[in-house]
Amino acid sequence: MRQELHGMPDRPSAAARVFVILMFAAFVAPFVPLVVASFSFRWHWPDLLPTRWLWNVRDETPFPVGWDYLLSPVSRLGSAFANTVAIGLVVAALALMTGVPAAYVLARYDFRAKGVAEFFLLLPIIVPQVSIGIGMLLLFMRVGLFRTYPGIVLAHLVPALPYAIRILTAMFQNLDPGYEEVARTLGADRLARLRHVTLPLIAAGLATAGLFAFLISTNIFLLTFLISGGRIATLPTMLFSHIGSGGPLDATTAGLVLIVSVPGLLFLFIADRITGSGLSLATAPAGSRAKEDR
Amino acid sequence: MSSITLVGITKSYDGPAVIADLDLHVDTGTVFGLLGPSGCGKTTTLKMIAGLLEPDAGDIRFDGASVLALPPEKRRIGMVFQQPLLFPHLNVEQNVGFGLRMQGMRPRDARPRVRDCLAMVQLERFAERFPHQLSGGQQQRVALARAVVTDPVVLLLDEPLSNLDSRLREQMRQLIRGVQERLKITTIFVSHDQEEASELSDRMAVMFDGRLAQSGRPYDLFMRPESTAVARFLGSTNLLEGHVRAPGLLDTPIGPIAVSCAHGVEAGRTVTVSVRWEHLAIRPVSAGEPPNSFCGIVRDVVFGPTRIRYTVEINDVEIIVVAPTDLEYPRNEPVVVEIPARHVRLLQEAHASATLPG
Repeated sequence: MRQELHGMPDRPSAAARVFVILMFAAFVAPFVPLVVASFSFRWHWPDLLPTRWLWNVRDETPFPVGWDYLLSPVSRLGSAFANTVAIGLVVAALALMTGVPAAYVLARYDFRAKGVAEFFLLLPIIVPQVSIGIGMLLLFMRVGLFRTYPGIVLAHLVPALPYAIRILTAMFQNLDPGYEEVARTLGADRLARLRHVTLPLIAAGLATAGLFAFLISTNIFLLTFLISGGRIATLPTMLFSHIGSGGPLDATTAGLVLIVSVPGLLFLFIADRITGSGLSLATAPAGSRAKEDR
Repeated sequence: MSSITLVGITKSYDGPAVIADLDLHVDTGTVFGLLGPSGCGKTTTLKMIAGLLEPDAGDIRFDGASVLALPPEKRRIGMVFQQPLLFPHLNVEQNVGFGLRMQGMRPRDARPRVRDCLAMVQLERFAERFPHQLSGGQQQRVALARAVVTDPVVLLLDEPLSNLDSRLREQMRQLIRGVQERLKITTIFVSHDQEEASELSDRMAVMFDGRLAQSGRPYDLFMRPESTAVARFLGSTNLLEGHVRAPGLLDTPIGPIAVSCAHGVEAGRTVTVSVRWEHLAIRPVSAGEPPNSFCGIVRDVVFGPTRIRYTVEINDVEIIVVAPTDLEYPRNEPVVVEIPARHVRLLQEAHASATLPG
């Protein structure tokens, strides 16, 4: 982010600032009632604010409510959070490890089955997840992946990998093959070129693709629900079990919704720290092309 | 330092041959300029010498030993491309030191050599900068330093000046010349700019459609072009078509010209001759003119610091004359142009030249 500012005007115009503030408000506004709801005990229409807050009733309820419940061991929020993050990290890592070679081939070579390969990469995005999920469920039950972590990771890769490959392909298409040619003439073999030239040059794309895979994985409910057989809980399955009971949004669910958004923000923050470019989807060289592709 | 020899190189990309049966030899420590219009196959030739492309047939030898089996990373070459292609995540020193790092040298040990190469391109003070902080010309100089840091036996330059403005070109040209002379490195230089190639090369060749049309010293190519195509491409010359009336006498649109070249050509044939701009003489109209002189009118005058270029209309044909600056003829002035018989050169037709050897 730092060096992309090079060459831009120092200060945005007043109109641009207002626009940015409005956009920011549009993204943040939905969270405000959630935060309020997560601390409320009674909040009915048409009251603007809750009539009773959680801290007013803390001593009256027989069991912990809202944040008290979520943060108590009874809720098992900790293990769901850990599951979500761990599965998301493994999915992101596997998506990059398989996605980088796949994207390289798609971007650099022409082969006869290329169109077919690209079609199958789109399929998981087009076909409803429930079809994929039921199919995988039937298969996984037979091969012993039902109710296992590897089973869930594999299921998550199905929607995550196409996004990762799309982003990485755009990145490779924008990478001048001349860099690798120069490196060859300077004595760099295949491995050295990958390590010292190609990977550093696509760092922003790697961060973006990894982030997408992670975000997709941490948001998946249906596939996890089917493959876990209720045995392994993640934040989305936990949230849906609360929402599924129907009724008004209670403080516990509101709190859970807030927590579900934590892993993504955390990952974005860390990726930005490590590469200095995790946030740069729009400013990365591949950014413009990546948008057209979708 | 090695000599470079190409024997019968042929290359095609799913279609007609881009390079057809190409033979080429570059002596140890010399600069060879490969000149041609875009798409003539000169960059393809360079990439095959580098190993970045594989020829379909033929052999490439450094000092007589075939290098075809070696990948580019083992050929000990340095190459500068049209774009600088500096690694954007590395600073200048790391970019220049890249080749040494690939040889397993630690940055600390590589530093003296890197600094030495940066000094050669006059960029010692920029070692800590990153590529995006440099101008295009500076980037290309870093690319040159990076290409020679590993002491390659062959230096390949693929139009390294084409993206620079004219003042920077001149500077970069002198730098390349200086680096080459100091390292005595065998160099092949690809260009579409005749001036660039002639100033840098010890020997040069003009390439059309994957074949060498003519090769030799720059002086020979400019003064003794063999074909119309070569003469037209190198430029700075008047091309005239004429019929041979008798041995040593041509009928041309500007009038009959006595020539010393066309003696072997039978009468009645149509030929093309070339006379260089600076070999013509321009004089005021007077009585008692020397032979081979033609009256004309000055149509255009372009003044240069060391010479003046006149366009003279003779019998509805425009002839260009480059003359010394001691006399000036204004526009629309009648003048006499003399064509010295010994400077008229007979050319082969373009299609005939393609089948001629070398």
